[in-house]
Amino acid sequence: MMKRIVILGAGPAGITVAETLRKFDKTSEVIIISDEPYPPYSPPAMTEYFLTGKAFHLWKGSNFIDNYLNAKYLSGKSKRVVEVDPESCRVVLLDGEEIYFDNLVLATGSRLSASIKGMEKEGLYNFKSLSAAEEIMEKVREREAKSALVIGAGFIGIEIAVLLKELGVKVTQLVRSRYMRGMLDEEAAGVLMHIMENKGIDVLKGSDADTVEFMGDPDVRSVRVRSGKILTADLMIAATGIRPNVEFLSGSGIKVNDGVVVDEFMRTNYSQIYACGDIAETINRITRQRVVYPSFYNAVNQGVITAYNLLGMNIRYEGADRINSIKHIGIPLITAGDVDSKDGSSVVYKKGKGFIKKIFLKNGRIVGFILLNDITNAGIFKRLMDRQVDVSSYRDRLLDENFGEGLLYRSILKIM
Amino acid sequence: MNEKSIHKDAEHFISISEKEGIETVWNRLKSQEPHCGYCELGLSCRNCAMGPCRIDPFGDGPQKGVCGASRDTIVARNLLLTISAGAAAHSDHGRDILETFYETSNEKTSGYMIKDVEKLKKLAIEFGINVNDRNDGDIARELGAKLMEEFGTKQKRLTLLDRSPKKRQEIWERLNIVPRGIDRENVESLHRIHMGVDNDYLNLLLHSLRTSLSDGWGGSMIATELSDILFGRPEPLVSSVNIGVLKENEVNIALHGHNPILSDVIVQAAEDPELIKIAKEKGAKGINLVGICCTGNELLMRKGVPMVGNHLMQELVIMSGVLDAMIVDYQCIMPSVVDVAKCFHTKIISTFDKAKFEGAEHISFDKSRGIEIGKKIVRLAVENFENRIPGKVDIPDKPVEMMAGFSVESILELLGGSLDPLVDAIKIGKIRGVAADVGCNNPKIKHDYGHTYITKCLIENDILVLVTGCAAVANGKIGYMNMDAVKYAGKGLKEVCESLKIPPVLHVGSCVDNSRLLVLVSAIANNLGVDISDLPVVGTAPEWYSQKAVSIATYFVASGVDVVLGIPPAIFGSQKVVDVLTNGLKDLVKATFSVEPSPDKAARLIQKKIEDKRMLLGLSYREIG
Amino acid sequence: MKSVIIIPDRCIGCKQCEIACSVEHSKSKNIYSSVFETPKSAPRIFVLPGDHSCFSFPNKCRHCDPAPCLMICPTGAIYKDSSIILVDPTRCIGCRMCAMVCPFYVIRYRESPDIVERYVATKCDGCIDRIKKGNIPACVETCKTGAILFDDLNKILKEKGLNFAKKVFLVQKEGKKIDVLQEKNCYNMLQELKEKLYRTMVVEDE
Ligand SMILES: Cc1cc2nc3c(=O)[nH]c(=O)nc-3n(C[C@H](O)[C@H](O)[C@H](O)COP(=O)(O)OP(=O)(O)OC[C@H]3O[C@@H](n4cnc5c(N)ncnc54)[C@H](O)[C@@H]3O)c2cc1C
Repeated sequence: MMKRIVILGAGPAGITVAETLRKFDKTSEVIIISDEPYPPYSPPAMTEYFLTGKAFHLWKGSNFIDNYLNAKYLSGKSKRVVEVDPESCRVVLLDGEEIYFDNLVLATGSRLSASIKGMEKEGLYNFKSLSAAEEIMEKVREREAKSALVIGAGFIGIEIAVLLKELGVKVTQLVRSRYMRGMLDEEAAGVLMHIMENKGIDVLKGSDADTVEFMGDPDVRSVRVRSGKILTADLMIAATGIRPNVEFLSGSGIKVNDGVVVDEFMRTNYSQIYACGDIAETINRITRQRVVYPSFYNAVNQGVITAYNLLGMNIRYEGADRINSIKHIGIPLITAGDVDSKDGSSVVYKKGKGFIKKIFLKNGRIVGFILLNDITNAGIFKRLMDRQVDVSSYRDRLLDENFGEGLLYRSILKIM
Repeated sequence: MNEKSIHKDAEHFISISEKEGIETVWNRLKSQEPHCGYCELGLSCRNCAMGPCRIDPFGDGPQKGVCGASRDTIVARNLLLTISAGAAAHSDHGRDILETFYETSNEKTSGYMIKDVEKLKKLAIEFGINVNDRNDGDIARELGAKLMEEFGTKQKRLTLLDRSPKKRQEIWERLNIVPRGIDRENVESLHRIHMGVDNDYLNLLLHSLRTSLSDGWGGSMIATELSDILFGRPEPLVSSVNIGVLKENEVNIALHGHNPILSDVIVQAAEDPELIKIAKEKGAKGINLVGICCTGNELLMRKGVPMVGNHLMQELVIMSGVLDAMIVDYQCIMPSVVDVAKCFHTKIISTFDKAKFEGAEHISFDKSRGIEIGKKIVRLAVENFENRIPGKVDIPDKPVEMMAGFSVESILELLGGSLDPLVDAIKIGKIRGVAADVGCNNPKIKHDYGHTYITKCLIENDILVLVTGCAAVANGKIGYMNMDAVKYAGKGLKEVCESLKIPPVLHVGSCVDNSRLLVLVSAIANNLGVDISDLPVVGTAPEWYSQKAVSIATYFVASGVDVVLGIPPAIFGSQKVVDVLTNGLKDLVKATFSVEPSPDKAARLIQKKIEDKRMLLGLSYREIG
Repeated sequence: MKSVIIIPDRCIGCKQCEIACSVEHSKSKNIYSSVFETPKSAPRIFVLPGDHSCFSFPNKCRHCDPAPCLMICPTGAIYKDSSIILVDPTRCIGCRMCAMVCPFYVIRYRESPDIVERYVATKCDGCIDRIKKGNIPACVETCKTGAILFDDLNKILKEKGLNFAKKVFLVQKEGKKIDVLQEKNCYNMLQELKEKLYRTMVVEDE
């Protein structure tokens, strides 16, 4: 009998699973379920889409599922999965439909999270998904939103702030500690703040930026911050963090920690059920600690590994990467790994006209780097970091203008 | 972690340049890497429009240029061009001095006079000029006219070749490489390089020797002789060196380049009471002249003007923030000094119409108005004093004492009028031999490391070291050229130095003054009745970069002095050319080239060569492993 | 199947491949006019210095499989056409994610004639246009030292292997010096000298 593989979520993780499967397996039945009413899209491309209006940036194209994946696609609010029963191999959708599976892939991604009073109220917007983004954009298109308050200064907060600014909205951003905390050190975050301010975004800091309550009844109309001030705007956008979409799994018996716990083959505690993408708790490639690293790259990589293992190839996942490139700020900025230069690490540093480059090392090995406005050798640093190559012998040359593949090629030869 | 230079001042400024993003020669070297292997091997030819061509060094790709030239032809042609450019530079420098000399004899110059009449007469006699009962002007005029012929076609043989031992002259005659006219050999070089003229690598190499000889025994020697006559014969003196010679509270003027014609009048102009008065009005205590490269060496040798640095220091000295003007003439002046100066208040003033710099202020030098122009230039510097940027003053080291002024004549004087004491010291082995450490700096080798490392090894082993050009500044700066340095010398050399009151490393002059070395070794050879190639004498250029250096090295070898180079020249594309230069020349001119980039190995090689020569002369010798 | 193969020991750093690549990817494909074009064409192969700069290495896209740049591209601008990884500049949003994961740093961001608003990912396209016309890639054509070949990898491996085996035979059976196993040529000589020079840069001071 034909095998049926059900994929929950049509984000980058889910779609990559289907795409990779189809390279090898043309016959199994594949069903993809999404609670969003769109063809699969790529969240990192949303800003571009809203800026240019060109839908082809949104990734694979609207007929991708039919033409390439040969899969069944169930999408829309009513198709939200509300229950998973591993024992009977069955998922239940909001509209009551029940679907049986041989293999199940959990790829429902993540959504906005915040532990702030008034969080659950209506009228609080976010930019985490295309559905959520469309709600914001509707307001902007209708010219109902002339001003916006963006709460949070992470990756998504930056994108929505820049996007709205570009579209002519007056933007105030609340930056409690610094931009991209955890991904940028103080110096780079300072440069980024400068860039944001130069774009015309009002940046509030410290106690003026520390939101304690979303106010308004029933809809959110303003926020109260720790300094006591009440801030208000036409659009209140939360970009305070994200958490995996795991609620529908409660009571299913599938083990959930920070995210759905998977082994190195992307399997959950049920061998026929896999998880990948923002929902999955995997291990950090370098530190081997258990982590949830929501990123496009990890989602795609995990999707590929999931597919391989669905196909019985027994391929291990090397681990999740903490790496990102910050878009739309006008200069290239790549940050990777541990950049909080805690004890035991040393820094190779170079600052020049308009650029800052830092490489963080521990025991002679790269553990993180920040490349601001000069991303020379970014992928090479990532490779050295991923493989934990001992770079002590050329530590001081890492940021030399002539460092690169040529030198490494020779050094690698020397090691052999 | 001294990566790029052995000196504190250089390292200091290099690290600042890196921090502030001021581009220097080291950055540019990096951005040029990797260098083109064809060019490094001498295997590329862009002489004509059937090409450009390149020969695959590995042998699978093209092995002939479009015209059919082999790798050997191409390498030899390229080498000849390099040597010609170097010889031309020295010789054109010589011609400029000659013109000034001649015009001075006609009293058509301002700021010049015949300073050394004795030397004038001696030289005139060598040219068969009657010097009895004639005034200096007359003699000079006739000598000037004769010297001009040395450049031309009338001559069949350069006159000053007569200074060399007879045996040497016979070798040149046998090989048919006696240089005829100075310009002629250079022009013929260019002719031979043209497609379809000289295609025989050996013939090309022989003409390379001849062209270089026209430099050493021609252009350079004339430059040295006439500079001595016009500006004075160097006498031993004490001066100082490194960035510390700049004075924060005086107007600092650096003189950079090679030709002393201009800098000599600048020295006179800087003593002008009126200019000093203006300087004081601007808040300066006085006017301080310092030298860079060989213009600096010319002034140091004759006037004791202190040296601020050599070739690789030229960009860095500007970063002191106290250099009010850098006056440049020609050769070895990096175009980039103009760019570095833009970050500071320093004025770059170019002076020769044949050597202009985009972005520099040009004041055309005219020897007939020498003093007037000199004053004009100094005034510019003085007026620039007030433009100093207060936060940028940075003089990171104290000067080091350095002796200079060892012309052949002054060495003879020190020896009591005869070479015998020196020759005897060599014979009994107190001094094992003489090494000439010459040549430039090159960012491919740690700045001044080659010069100083080799010198140290040699003086330790009782080898007297004579230095010129950038090599002199390197050794002076590290302290090998004052009386204190005698302590670094081996026992025998130390004794000689102490008795003559000379340091173990003697400053012989600028790079055209390498001709003094030819005169000196000829005199020693003649004293002993042998050829130059029999002497325990070796030349080395561990950090060379320029075409002039190749010409010098080649005229050393052609004159019988073995030469050890630190930087590989672009010849390795042809095994045949390499074989001739490193081996075959032994049969032809009794001296060869060696390439040894490791200063340690180079020092041992030099020592071995010297001891081997001693053995052949029947003198005591040491086994060198 | 033929592909571009790099023989690093044969690279002498002349950078002619860089020039040929730039010209090939210019509008006019002519060296004399290409230098006057805007935007200026630029190479997609990079001749890099190795240790001591006595060594050079032509660095270019390996057209990996699987290709991390293709996987990470969030807009689908990077795609594959018969084993060549290509970029559609109109879809590229310049997010730099591909450079971030390219282990060889061979993707650069440049002005593209088609795109005005931003720099877009630019990389080796395997000279796919030339191949389609039956030509070999520009870098291969211009390389005269045999450092960049266009050939069947298996064939080259076999040839090199046989060649080496022959040399081993010479050593074993005919008592030739072990040196013959190493390629000795004038470029090696120069490299040795340059290596010595480089050492002066890193010596410890007494
Ligand atoms: C604006 C923005 C910009 C970004 N830029 C970058 C970037 O530049 N680089 C980078 O690496 N990452 C970026 N990310 C993060 C990246 O997009 C995510 O990590 C990635 O999309 C995760 O993929 P996923 O498939 O795991 O989850 P998601 O993309 O979240 O997809 C999950 C899908 O499942 C659906 N779903 C959820 N619950 C259910 C349910 N119960 N039933 C049915 N369907 C459900 C969701 O609606 C969604 O469509 C960005 C994210 C955003 C929002």
